[in-house]
Amino acid sequence: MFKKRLMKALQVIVDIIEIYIPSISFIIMFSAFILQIFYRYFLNNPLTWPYEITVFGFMWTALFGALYAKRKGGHVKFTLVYDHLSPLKQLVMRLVGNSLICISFIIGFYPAYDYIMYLEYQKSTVLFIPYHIVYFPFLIFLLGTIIRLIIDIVEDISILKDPSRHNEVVKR
Amino acid sequence: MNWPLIIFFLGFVSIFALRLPIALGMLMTSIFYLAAASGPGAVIEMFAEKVLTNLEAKYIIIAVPLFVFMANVMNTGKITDMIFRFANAVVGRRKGGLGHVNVIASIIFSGMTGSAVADASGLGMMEIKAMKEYGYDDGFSCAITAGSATIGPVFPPSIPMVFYAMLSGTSIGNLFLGGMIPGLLLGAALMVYVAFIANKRDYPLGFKYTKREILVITIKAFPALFSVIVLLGGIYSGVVTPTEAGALASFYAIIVAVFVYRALGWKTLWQSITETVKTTGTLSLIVGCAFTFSFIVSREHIPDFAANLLLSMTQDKYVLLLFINVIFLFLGMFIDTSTLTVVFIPIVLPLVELLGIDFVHFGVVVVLNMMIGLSTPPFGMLLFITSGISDTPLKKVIREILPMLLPMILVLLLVTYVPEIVLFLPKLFGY
Repeated sequence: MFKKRLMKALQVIVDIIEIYIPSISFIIMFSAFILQIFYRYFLNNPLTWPYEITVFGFMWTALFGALYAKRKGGHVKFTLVYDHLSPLKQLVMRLVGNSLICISFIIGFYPAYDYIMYLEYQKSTVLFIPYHIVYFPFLIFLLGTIIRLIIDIVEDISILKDPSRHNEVVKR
Repeated sequence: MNWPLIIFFLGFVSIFALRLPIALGMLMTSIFYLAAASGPGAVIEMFAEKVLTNLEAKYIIIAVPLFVFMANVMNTGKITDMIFRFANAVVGRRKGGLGHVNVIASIIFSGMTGSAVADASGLGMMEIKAMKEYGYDDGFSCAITAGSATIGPVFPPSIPMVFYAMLSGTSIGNLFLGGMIPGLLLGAALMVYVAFIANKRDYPLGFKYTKREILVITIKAFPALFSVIVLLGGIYSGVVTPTEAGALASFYAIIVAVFVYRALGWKTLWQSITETVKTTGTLSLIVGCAFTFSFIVSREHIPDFAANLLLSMTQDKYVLLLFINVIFLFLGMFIDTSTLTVVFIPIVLPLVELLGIDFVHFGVVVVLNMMIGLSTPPFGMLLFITSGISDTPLKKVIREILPMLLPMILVLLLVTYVPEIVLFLPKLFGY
């Protein structure tokens, strides 16, 4: 029961990060554009802050959205070689590929964290938003991708260990 | 031995050999390269810096989610449906009418969104269904839908042109203007091909509408058709920038879909937003990661190497344009357009500059080229989409698209060797 509740709570958190935050960021970005056009052309009173909101909204949409794309298997891949292999060879290929990306992201995580935190004192010119907040979703993206890759790797290892599942076609 | 470069090359090959997500693979390669090349001018954190600062600085890229959103709203909000009905009423009566409708509807749709995939998957579903019902061959219906969808990113607005403008520093307004005549030429070439096939196979005449019916359909479709005016009129009257035009036209599309056609509710609007978020995440990440990649490519002087290699073969700019066209057509058969744009275009741009080829001209040529690649077997994405949405065997689609590629390639050659086709309109507007 506790495990079920925990999984449900985790799913809600994941949905917030992968769906709700980027969608709301997009809505904010979109609204800022419309407001900007309205103030400039109808009220003849150009606003300065929507520029920053649109740029930052876009970055949040893109970086959190990239996690959603990973979840939905939406990232572009070159499948020419992979599609012609047996399920077992595809499995090995996924394991190698996912492990390589995972290792590189683990190597890159701390330097990225260091770089982003270094920007704490640099602020945007109009709204004075510290840049480490603007860029923070990149760390979530790296971390989220590492977690998803580890889940995929563990699942693939369990298939590899069980010979009866070697012909299982995995759509991921 | 230059180990970092070897690592970079191996990483690049593994992206394609191991079926890695392209964006994640580029990031992986960059991290491994920077780790190996650590020293003055290259530290690991640069991978984060390049992605983030470029995504923030290249303001024009924000047009991409807005064009994607507009296409999603149009496909869910009945606007696409209205465009199809309008095109059917206007050109559907002739022999092979639905083939012509397919092309005309795509030209109109392309004036609203910049995505071939949105055209093939939204408008395409309707077109293929209608064509099959009227007795057209399955394969031909899919092939003409794929072929006509390629007009989308050639005629403005265009997502690949936004990417190109960002990489080359070319004016997006001039690129959009430059794509207009080639887009219409491509449409005309496809219509000639449809007429030829319709006569050869004796395809049926379409439904003949009375003048009154055409008028009623036109009035009903007018709010949908007006979005072209909002978008292109907004940009070229100088009222809004291309990026703002994307937002304004999306806003207009929402108003029309909600209040005029009553086809967009909260649920469908939310679906359009989440779909936009997913596509934005995919495309923007490729672009962001490509900046890290491009940094390494230029650090290792790869564009110089490519330029010297091509120049050692010939120094004639027209022969080199042919080389580049063949290379991009070939790569376009296998590699996604966004990847092709952000990875390979920066490699050839220095050469293009060296030869004095106009960047607007080259941009339109290369976009047209990549679009043809999208419908070229064996891996043109549009073939998979049209085959998938209509349950038509891929073999049939491929058999029908092959001869159709001929008029498309002829248009490409014409646009390549007669730069005025592209440059006439930009020059008219002061380029």
